[in-house]
Amino acid sequence: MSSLKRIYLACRVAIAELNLRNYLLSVSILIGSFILGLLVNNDSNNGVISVLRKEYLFWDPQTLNITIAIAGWISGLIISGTLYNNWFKEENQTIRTLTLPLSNAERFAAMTLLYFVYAPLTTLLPPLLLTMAACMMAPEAFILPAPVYLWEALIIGWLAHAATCIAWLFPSIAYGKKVGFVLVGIIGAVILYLNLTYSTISDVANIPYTATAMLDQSVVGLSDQSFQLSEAPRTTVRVAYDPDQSLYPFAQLVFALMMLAAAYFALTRKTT
Amino acid sequence: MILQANSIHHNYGSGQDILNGVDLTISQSGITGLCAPNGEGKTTLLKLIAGLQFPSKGDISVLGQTPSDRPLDLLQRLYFLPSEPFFPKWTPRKIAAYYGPFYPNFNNQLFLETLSDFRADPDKPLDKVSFGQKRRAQLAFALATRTQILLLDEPTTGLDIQGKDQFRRTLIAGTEAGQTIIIATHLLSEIAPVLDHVLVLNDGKIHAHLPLELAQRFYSFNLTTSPLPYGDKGYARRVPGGWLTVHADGRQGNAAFDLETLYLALTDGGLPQPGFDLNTKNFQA
Repeated sequence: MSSLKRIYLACRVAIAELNLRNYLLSVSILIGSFILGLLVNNDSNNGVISVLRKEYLFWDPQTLNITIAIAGWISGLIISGTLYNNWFKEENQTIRTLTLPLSNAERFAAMTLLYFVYAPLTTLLPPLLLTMAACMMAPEAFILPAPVYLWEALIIGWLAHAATCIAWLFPSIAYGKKVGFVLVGIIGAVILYLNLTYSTISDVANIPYTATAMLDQSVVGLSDQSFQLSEAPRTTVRVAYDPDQSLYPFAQLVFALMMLAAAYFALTRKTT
Repeated sequence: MILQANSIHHNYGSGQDILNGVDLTISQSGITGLCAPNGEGKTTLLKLIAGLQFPSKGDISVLGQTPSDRPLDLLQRLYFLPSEPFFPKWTPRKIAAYYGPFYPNFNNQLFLETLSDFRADPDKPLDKVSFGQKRRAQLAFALATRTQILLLDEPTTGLDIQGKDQFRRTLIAGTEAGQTIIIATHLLSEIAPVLDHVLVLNDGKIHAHLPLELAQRFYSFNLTTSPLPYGDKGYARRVPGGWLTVHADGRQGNAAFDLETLYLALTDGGLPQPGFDLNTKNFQA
């Protein structure tokens, strides 16, 4: 039997162990938020206008994309959590998984396919398809964005799902609840990084709004109700610096290496 | 060599070794009973053989491979059935359809026949049947994998008399097909009729590794009305009708060979063990 066949068999077993309700999660969340949209009396700035209080429902593309991405992300995590529970949560499940005749590489490939491809697709595609179908069939009172604007949800949702899985999944298999401390540490490091990349020093200060203030040489900026002077006394204004463009690929490389290392420890671990 | 363990030490991080220098060699197929008091490391030893635990010292080789590496070739030729395994809540037929293909020698016909002999319904989900029925389905699957090495942890728990009888018959069929089966159990009497070897684990070491056929020649069992006199080097156990005594004297006794009594004699009674020459298959003086 080839490796591909064994990977297929492992995925088939894991998928067969999932309940139908797992596949309905994201659609349920989307429909739930839709119903909530019908009930709330929101303004058009937030993208949703209620048909109950107003005359029609409008869902702008950005709002719907984010709603689909969040619905997919939450349900993707629930499916990933179910897969994790089925295969690793208890001692006997771990024994079953680690004695299943697969090489470590095949086990890794099967899990990668399940967690990073199958779970996000099964949670992001149904709400996307549902929205597309709704767009074509909805009465005129419902204004939904055209499907062409909704592909963004797939990307955003997948990225959110993948990032969460990288930080949580394989490390949890390898080290169990100890991973919680590491995650708190990562969040702390991110907060520290954001703090360090903000300047609190500025050499501009606001002056009251006047009609001729812009004519002054020392005026360097304009805000809602005031102008800014360059030679005014220093004051504290938080300014974010754009990080170096190479930071993102570097961070992705670090995360990928961390995932591989965590996967190695997860799949070569002993039982408890 | 089927299994070779050299000076295995293992602990669970508490500092005290649960296995404290286990040396073990199994070179021929057959059925080996692994007995030990509670908490003495029976399951741990099976897990070490299956590659689920890693020895803190020493090395193990199973079918020429290191189990802790979990090589595919070994996993395909070894099946470990824990005392409380995790099986999905499916019908046995579905479990066989999904999990069977992982094992190259899986025999679906044998699986269905064993289920039938065990009087277990292949089409009833495991969450809808009794513990005993579930255990039978798990055993039927384990036996149908036809792996070269089968590790069974307390397999007879939950089996009725017919189930145990069928289980023993299937084990014999397995060894005839060249399987090496290691059974960890407290219920020695239930599997004694089919055992080829018995391993006694005590104080973290292999206390005895006896070929059963030769142990029957080496130890004599007698039913007496009084316990052993002072100074007698045998072991006596109170049984209905008197005392069952065991002596390492190679004589013919008046009572049948009793594995549980022998186990007690070896562990509690300190009965001497025979030296056994694997080449000549005879006891050493």
